[in-house]
Amino acid sequence: MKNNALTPLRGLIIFTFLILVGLGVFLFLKPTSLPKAIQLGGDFTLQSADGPVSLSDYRGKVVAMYIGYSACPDVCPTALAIMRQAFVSLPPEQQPLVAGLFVSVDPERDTPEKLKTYTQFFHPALTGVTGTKSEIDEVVALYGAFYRRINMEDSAMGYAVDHSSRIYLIGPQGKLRNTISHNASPSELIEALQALLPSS
Amino acid sequence: MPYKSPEMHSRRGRRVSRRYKKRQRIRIIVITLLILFIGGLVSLISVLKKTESSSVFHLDHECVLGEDTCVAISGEQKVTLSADEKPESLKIITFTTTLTNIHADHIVLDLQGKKMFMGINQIDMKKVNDNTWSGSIEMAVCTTGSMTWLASLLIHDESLAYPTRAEFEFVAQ
Repeated sequence: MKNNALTPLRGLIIFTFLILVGLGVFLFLKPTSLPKAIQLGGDFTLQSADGPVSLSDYRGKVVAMYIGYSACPDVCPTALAIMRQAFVSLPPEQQPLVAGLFVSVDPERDTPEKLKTYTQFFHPALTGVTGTKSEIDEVVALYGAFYRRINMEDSAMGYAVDHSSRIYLIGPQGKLRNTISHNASPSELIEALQALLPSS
Repeated sequence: MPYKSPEMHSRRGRRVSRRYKKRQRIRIIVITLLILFIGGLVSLISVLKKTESSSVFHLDHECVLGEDTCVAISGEQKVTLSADEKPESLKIITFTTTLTNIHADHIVLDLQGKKMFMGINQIDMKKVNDNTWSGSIEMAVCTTGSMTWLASLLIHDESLAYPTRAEFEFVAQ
């Protein structure tokens, strides 16, 4: 009689125990959901004609960075021309606080010296950098960009390079803060640069 | 009736009191276990519901983004996607999506090469009304030829662990 009275209680204890253990195991093993936002950006070091250049060398400045190559027929010069226009249009006191980086994904043709000539044509605050394939791949991955070589047998160029085309805006602390279309107007770029400048 | 001394009465009273206390303890244990059981069961069901696999959407008919409204269906659920013009690299395109029988807390539109990673091209779409969302995005890539792209809508419902995904193919230069 005594045992009979305790049977439902024993059953309840066992069920509850199993439910709680099952819940615990499930919560422990369940896959976590994917992160909602991917954190892009980060420091890197590539080669310029004047030696290695790291993004961290520009700490305290706002950096406008573009990934392309010097033989790129249209979008790269357009982006660099917009950067130039924005840089020269900034008030004189803000001009030393901004810099431009042109990362070439075509190290075969873009030597650091060639990149220096190319970028200086646009503006002295623009620095051309490149590196080995693995160094370039690392930068491209850090910024969520892409590039690929396309062979063009019928062209005198031999090959072209498809690539992401946007201007990355990096704040004075070295963090990627914003991106802007290479088609943006210089005034849009000025506004975006000024928004990142430390308030004096 | 046999005589019962006050001492016997008191012993009986203590026995009754012990039995009562024991029953009370069992009752408390049963109620606690029931609460734990029901709580555990409800939590388990809600966790299982949260991780249930998202629907697989199938295109309702062949469509050309920029010319047609593309429709993807999964049972009673329907997602449409349209573009204000034919998608093209380095051009800002406004995409609009409508949802039927799908709850969304936020929607991400991701444009990607079907066979190749083309960099991150994503936007958070803005809610226009109850079931319509819209957003403008640029496929920020300079490419030499045309290729097949995938426009993926990641429909996030906070009560589910994974977003519902609907994909639409298109060819763009």
